[in-house]
Amino acid sequence: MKRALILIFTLTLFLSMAASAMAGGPPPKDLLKGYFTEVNEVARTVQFEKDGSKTVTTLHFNQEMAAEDIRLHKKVMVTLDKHAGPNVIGSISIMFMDLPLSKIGYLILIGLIGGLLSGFIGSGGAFVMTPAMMTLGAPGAIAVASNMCHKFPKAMVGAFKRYKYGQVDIKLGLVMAVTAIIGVELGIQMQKYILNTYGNAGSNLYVSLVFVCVLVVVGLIVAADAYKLSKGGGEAKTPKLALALMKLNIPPMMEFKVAKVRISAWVTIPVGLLTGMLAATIAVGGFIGVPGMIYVIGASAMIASATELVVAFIMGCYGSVQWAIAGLVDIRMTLLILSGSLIGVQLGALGTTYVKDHIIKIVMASVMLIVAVSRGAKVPGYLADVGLMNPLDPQVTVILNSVSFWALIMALGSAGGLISFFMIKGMVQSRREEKQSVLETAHG
Amino acid sequence: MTTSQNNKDSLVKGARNGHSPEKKKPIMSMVLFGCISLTAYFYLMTHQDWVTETFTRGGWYAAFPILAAFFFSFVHGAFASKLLSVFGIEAKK
Repeated sequence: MKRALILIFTLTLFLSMAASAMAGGPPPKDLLKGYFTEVNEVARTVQFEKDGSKTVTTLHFNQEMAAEDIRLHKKVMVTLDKHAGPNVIGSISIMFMDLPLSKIGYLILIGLIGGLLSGFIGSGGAFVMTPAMMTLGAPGAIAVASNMCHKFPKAMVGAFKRYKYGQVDIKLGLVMAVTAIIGVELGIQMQKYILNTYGNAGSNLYVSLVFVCVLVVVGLIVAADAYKLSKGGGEAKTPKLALALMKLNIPPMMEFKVAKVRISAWVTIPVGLLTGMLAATIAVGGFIGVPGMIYVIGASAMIASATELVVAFIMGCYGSVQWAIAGLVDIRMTLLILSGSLIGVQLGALGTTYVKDHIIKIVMASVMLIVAVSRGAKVPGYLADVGLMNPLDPQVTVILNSVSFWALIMALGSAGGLISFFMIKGMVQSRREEKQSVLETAHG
Repeated sequence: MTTSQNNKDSLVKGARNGHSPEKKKPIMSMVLFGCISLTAYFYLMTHQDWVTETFTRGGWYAAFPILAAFFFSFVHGAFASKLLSVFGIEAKK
């Protein structure tokens, strides 16, 4: 255990000093952070003091702006509109929203359910945090950074809990994490190429299509497998593909003792790379990492979902350092979500000890398919943006956006409900059996 | 009454109550970690301006949010773990 912890820590330190790869893309570089100090309504200019330096720059209003849009002495993020001229403001976002009690309660609750999901299936939860924080009024970059910073401590606590239950294969987790980080770098380069070639609309369409296709295909495979297992008494067998790949004797061979798998590195590496590439593209690498470990490498759903937490910890820690260096983490939101998710992740982790393998697959498949609906609802809008469809009626856009948002909430709600149901059922049954056996011992 | 009879009685009593007879609940450590966690959260919410300003300066100040996340995960994580134990929610043996 000590050796493994030292290994993880060293790896994390080393990775945080490496180049700029991280899940969900790198922090934006063209943002100005600081304070507006003085407005000149007649000249339509504003004095801007950059964060961390005393130098004051004069920025110009863009055509649609009015003096009322400027909030003095509040920390803001400003983007410049380079096409409109030098130092012309493109957009302004106030970095830190007010947090009344209702918003605090909402963040804790979302954290609790997200943590439950993470502890149980190893991933997920995070996909709903960023939109949830943006709904509350946080700017996109702050939401991504605060989400990333809450992810790694949550994954660390979850991984530690599940390690204690003997479910984590640390070696597999480390191999997956290292290869996934290389995959992230590849994914970012691919994203950049698509962004440069097809523009923002093309990039959005590409991300959504990859998201929907991967989630539908993998979600259906997992659902079919879970259905078959539940019919056959719930005892999981190693998938045929994994069995065939295990017979490939191409050195170097890797042995994963906890997962009870001996397999060629030429199989493990592509799974890690693909996980990283997807993490960079759709920001939820776990949705491919866990099924990859189950169906390609041959680990059980229990081991795969637990090992994914090690991968999430290393990648999340690495990404958080980058976003924190850019100064975009709203620690209040991070810690409020964490207060719920640290309870949820431990509850989810201990919940796995009461269920069979196929239950984890049922929860995973249902979350993946509902999230696919959420992203699928965005596709018509992106198709219209790239000119492959007629522009959408504004009312249709509103409906599709609300379908997308509510599908996310439904994914989280149904996952929370399913996990609680199976966990309580397992606990009641286990208590009954324990009571029975104690009474039998006492009377016998 | 013999020792074995005593053990049997304790087992039966524990089984009737629905939990393991010998395990002590970590109430004191739950309260301790709960107090540290609550104080830390109270400080965070009552010093929001200072915290948000300092933690988002970037560069070496990145250590603040990362260390805070680690600190809260240890303290609040320990509290959460003890809380679940006190409620009798534990992993299947």
